[in-house]
Amino acid sequence: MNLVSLLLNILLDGVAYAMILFMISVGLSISLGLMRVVNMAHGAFAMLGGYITIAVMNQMKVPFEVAVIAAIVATAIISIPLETFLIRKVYGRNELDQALLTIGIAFVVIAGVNSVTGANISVIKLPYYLNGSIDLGFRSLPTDRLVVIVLGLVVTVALWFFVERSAFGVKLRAAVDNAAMAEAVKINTSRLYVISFALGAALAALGGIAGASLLPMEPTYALKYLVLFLAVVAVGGHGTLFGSFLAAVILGIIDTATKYLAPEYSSIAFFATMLIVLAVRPQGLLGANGAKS
Amino acid sequence: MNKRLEVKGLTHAFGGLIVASEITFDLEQGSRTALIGPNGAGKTTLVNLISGALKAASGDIILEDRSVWGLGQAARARAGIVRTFQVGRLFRDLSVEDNIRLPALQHARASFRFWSTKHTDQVVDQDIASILAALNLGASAQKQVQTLPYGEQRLVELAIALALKPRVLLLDEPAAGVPQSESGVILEVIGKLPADLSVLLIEHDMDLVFKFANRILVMMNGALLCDGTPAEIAASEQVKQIYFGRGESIANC
Amino acid sequence: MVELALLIVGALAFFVFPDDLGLMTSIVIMTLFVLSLSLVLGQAGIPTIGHAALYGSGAYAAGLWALHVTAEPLTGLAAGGLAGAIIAALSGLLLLRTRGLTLVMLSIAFAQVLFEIANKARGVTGGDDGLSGLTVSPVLGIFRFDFYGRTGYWYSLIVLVLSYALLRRLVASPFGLTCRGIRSDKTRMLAIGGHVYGALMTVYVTGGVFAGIAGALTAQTAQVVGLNSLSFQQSADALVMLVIGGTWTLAGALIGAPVFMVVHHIASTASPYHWLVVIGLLLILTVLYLPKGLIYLIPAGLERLRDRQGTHE
Repeated sequence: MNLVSLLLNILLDGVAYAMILFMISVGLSISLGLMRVVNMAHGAFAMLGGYITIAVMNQMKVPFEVAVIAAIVATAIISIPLETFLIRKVYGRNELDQALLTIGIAFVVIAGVNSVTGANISVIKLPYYLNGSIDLGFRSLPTDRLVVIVLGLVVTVALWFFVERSAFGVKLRAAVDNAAMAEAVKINTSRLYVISFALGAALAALGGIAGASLLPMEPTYALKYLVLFLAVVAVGGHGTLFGSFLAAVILGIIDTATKYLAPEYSSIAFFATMLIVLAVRPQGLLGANGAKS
Repeated sequence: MNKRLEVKGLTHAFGGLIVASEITFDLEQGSRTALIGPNGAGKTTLVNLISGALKAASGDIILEDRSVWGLGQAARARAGIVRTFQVGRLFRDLSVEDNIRLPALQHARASFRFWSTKHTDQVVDQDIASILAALNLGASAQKQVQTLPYGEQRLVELAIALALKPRVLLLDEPAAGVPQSESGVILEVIGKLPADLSVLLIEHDMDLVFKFANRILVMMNGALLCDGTPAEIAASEQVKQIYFGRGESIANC
Repeated sequence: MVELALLIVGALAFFVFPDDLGLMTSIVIMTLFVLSLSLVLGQAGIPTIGHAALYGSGAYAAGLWALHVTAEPLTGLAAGGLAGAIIAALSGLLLLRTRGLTLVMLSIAFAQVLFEIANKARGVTGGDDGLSGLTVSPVLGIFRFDFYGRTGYWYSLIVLVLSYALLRRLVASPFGLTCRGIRSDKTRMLAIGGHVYGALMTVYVTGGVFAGIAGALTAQTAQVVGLNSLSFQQSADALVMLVIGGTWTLAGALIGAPVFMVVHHIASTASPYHWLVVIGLLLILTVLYLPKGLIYLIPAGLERLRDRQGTHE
C-alpha cells in the first residue's frame, strides 16, 4: 500500500487507540490528582463496562445502545461502595499500601468475572451501523474507528467544559490544589471524591466498551492493561487532564506506528518512550515541577 | 577571619513576588542575632536561601572565607550551615536516639559503615549521650518521635541541629506552637549554646528576642531594613512603622 | 538467633517433605529474592515493582555462565550476583533521582524493556523458550546435584542463611540506619548533610547482588531459565510476598514468601482463579488490618526487632 494510505491508517488507528487510552485513564488521573490515591483497580472499571454490556445484551435481549448506557451507569454505581468502604480507608497512607489494596480488589474482580464467564475472550457484538466503513469521498474509513475518535473528542471537550466552567469543576480544582483549604471553605470533599471517582469509573467503562476491539475483554483485562493506563498518567503528569490527553496521543500513535512498521518492537517502543519521557521529565509532560508523588 | 558568615546581595523571586531583595549582612563568630519582622516578610525564605534548600537567583554566601554559592543543601550542611525547621521535620517513625544518631554519624563521617552495629563508635555514642542529657531527653530516648508531645519534638529538632556541630545555626522559631509549660527547656538550651557558634534566630516573641540577642535584623517584604543593637531597634520609629504601619514603603533605619 | 532457627526449620522441612523438595527449594530461593526487596524497599523506601529485572538478570547470567564458561556453581553464583549489581546500577541511574509514582513507573518500564530485549535476543537467551540443558557441576567438587533435588535444596538453604546473616548485620549497621533515615524523610536527610543519592545507589546495588544470587540459584537448581524470571508478574508477586510478611523488618520476608508460595501451591491446584480470590482478599485484609504484615502476629521477639529497626506508618 502506498505511503499516504499507511500514514492515514496509522493516524486513524493511533488516534482511536489514544482516545480509548485517554477515556480510561482520566479516572486514574483524577483519583491520583484529587484523592492522591494510586488505584490499581481502575482497569477493572473498564473491564466491567465491557462485560456488563455483553451480559445485558445477552441475558436481557436489550439493544446495544441501551446496554452501553446501562453498563456505564452500573459501573459507576458499583464504584461508589468501593470508594466509600474500601479505597477511602487508604487515603493519606503510603503509596504502596494503596497500590496493594487496590491490586487486591482487582484480583477479586478478575476472579469474580472469570467464575461467571470463563477465561476466554468475550466479544461485544456491535450494531450494524458501526460495522463497515464510511465513504468520505477520497477514501473509505472504518466506521468504528471514526466513531471512537469523535466520541473521544466529544468526551475531552465535555470534560474540559465541566472541569473549567462548571461549579463542580471549580470545587474539584480547588480540592486538587489544596484539600484542607477546600474543606475550610465548606466544600464537601467526601462528596466530591465519591462523585469524581464514579465519574472516572463511568468514563473508564465507556472507554472499555469503545476499545473492546483493540483491548479485548478477558478476565485478566483489569491488570493486563493497567500498565498502559498508568503509563498515560505518569507520562502526562497526574492531576492534569490535558497532560493525560497529550500522553495518550503520543503513546497511542507511537505504539500503533510501531505495530504497523516494526511489530516485533512495539512493546519495547511503548515502554522505551515512557522511560525516556520520565527520565527527562520525571514529573510528566505537563506535571507541576516538584509535584507531590 | 572573624566574620563567620557573610551574606551578600541575596536576591530571589517566585514569579513576580520578590521574596529576597539584595539582602546583605554578616554574622560574627559567637554572634547572637535575632531576625524579626511581620508575617510574610521572608524570614523563613531567607533561611531556606542560606541553607541551600532554595537556590537564590543572585548574590553570594561566604562561610569562613569560602563561598558556598555552588553547594547544594547537603553540602552546605556538611560545611557547617545548619538550620532547624519551623514546622518540625523529624524522622517521625524512628526513635529519639536514632534521630540524633543520624546527624551524629553524619558528622563523624560514619554514615556508610557497613560492618558494625550502630553502637560501635564511642565518640558518637558519647556525643549522643551528652545531647540527650543537655536537652533532658534521656527518658524518651527509645520512644518513637511521633509519640512525643510537641514540646519534646521541638527539642529533638534542636538536638538534630546540635549533633551536627554546626558553625552557623539558623533557628526558625524553635519554640513556635509550644505551650508555656514546655518551652522552658528550649529557651534554656538556646541560652546555653556554644559560645563560638554563630546563631541566627527567627522569633516573634519579643521578650525572648531581647533576652537572647546582641543584635537584631528587621525584615519586611523581602528586604532587610534595619540592623542594630537591641536598644537601637527598641527605640526605632521605623521598626514601629514596620509592625504597626499600613504597609507603606518604609525607609531603612 | 534467627539464622539458627532458619536452619532448623529448613532442616525440618527437608525431613517432613522429602517429596516436595522442588517446591521447598523454590520457596527458599523466593525468600532470598524477597529479602533483597525488603532491603531495597522496606529499609530504604525505594518503591520498585521491577525488581525481577535484577533477579532475572542473575538467572540468565548464571545460566549463560554454566553453558559457556564453566559448570562450577559457586562462580556461577558470583556471576549472578555481579549481573544483578550491574543491572541495578544501570536502573539506579534512571530511578533513584525520582520518587513516588514516577519511580514506580520507571521501575516497571525498565524491567519491561529488559524483558523485551531478552525476548528478542533469541540467539543468546533462547527467547521465548529460555535456556535449558544447563548442567551444573558438584558444589565444592563434592556434592552432586541429584535428581531428587537434595543437594539443590541444601545449597539454596545455606546461601539463604548466610545471606540473611549478612543482610541482618547490614541493616543493624550505621549504613542501615542511614537507609531508614532516607526512607523516613529524604529531605531531612539532605538537610543534615546526608549523601542521599550515594546511599540509595549503594543499597540498591547491594539489593541487586542478592536478587542476582537468588536468580542464579534458580538457574542452577532448576537447570532452566525462562523469560518469566524477568516478568512483571514476578516483581508483583515478590512485592505481595513482602507486604504480607511485613515490609518494614527484614524477617518479614522469611514469613511472607513461604506463606504466599504455600497458599499459591494449594489454591492453584484447585483453580488459578481461586488463587486470585484468596490472594486478593489476603492483600485487602493485610493492608487494612495488618499493615505491618503477618510478622506482627508473632509477639515476643518482635518487640526487639521492631524497636531496632523502626516502624513506618
